Amino acid sequence: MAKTAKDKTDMPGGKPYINPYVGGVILGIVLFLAYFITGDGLGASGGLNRFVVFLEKLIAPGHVNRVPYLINIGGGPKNPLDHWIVFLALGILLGGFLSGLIHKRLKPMTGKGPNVSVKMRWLLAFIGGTLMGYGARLARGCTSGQGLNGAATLSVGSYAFLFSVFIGGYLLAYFLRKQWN
Amino acid sequence: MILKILVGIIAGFIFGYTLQRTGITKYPRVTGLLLLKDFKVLKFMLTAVTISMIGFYILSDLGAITLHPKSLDWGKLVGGLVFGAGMGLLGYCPGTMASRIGEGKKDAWIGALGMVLGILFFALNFNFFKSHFLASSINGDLAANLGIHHWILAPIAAIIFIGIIWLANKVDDSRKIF
Repeated sequence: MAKTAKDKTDMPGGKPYINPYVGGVILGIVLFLAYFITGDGLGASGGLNRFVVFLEKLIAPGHVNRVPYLINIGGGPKNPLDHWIVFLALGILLGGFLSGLIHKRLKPMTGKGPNVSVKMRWLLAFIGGTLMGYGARLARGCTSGQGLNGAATLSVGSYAFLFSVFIGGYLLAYFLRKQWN
Repeated sequence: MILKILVGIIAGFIFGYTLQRTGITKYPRVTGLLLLKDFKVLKFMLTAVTISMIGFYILSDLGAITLHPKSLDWGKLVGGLVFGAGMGLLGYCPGTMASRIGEGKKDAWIGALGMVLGILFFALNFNFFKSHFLASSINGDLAANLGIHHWILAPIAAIIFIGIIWLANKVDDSRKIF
């Protein structure tokens, strides 16, 4: 498999990873326990969304108080950051940081394929991030909220989202596979 | 408030730690999945979904939680296409991106900046999208829609998920696609 060669180039000296099934079981338990405690599904893009609404409210509070979707998040006296999902996003950053630190994979570098320049990779990452943020809002959930929580509660909307994600991704893969390989 | 912060930080911490620890935050993982060469992300997700599905339905039957299956509307389909293309270009989903930011990777930081722009663009044009994509929706509860009890549907789903993992392992071994 191609992955062994890539693993070596990614981070010399990094400790080996654990298998995906162990990770999956741990995450699966976190998913329903977090829902039990908060009464609310976990999601990775919701925190950033609330942060953006927070910034928007600082600059243009009138707009936040006019659009129904934004009113729900931060209209009137509501603080957009007053939600557990914001702290969840911070927790993910911390988790990635600490695991990287412990397992010697902490390094400011750019992850990329071998056939693409750093600048091109940054440009594609920025465009990709923009599309991803926009798509996640349009679907009201990302691969965590829809793909994990929604799929685990057998939601029609979430499976439709996931199929769309893979269609979008595979169409793109058809055009970009030379760069990725 | 303290509970809110604690639960968020702890759940997020385990999430981010696990993502990093399984190595699915690495750049070639998502593109590898889209090229049908590397199924680690799929195996991880399907395992998590199978386990939590059982947990969700047990807690729901005990009356400990109320499930809100996500409804189907045009936003899910159009948003999914846009999201999938973006995820392919960036090489991370929002969760692995966040964990990867913690790891200090520059491309993940730049992806997050892009995400801020995308989220802002959506917020500024919400009314237009609402009238075009969110006007009608279908109830999201698959078990209710099919008229099947969730304890009949859930084991079927679990068998399908495990079957996909089994299939992914077969392809992983033969490495013949593309």
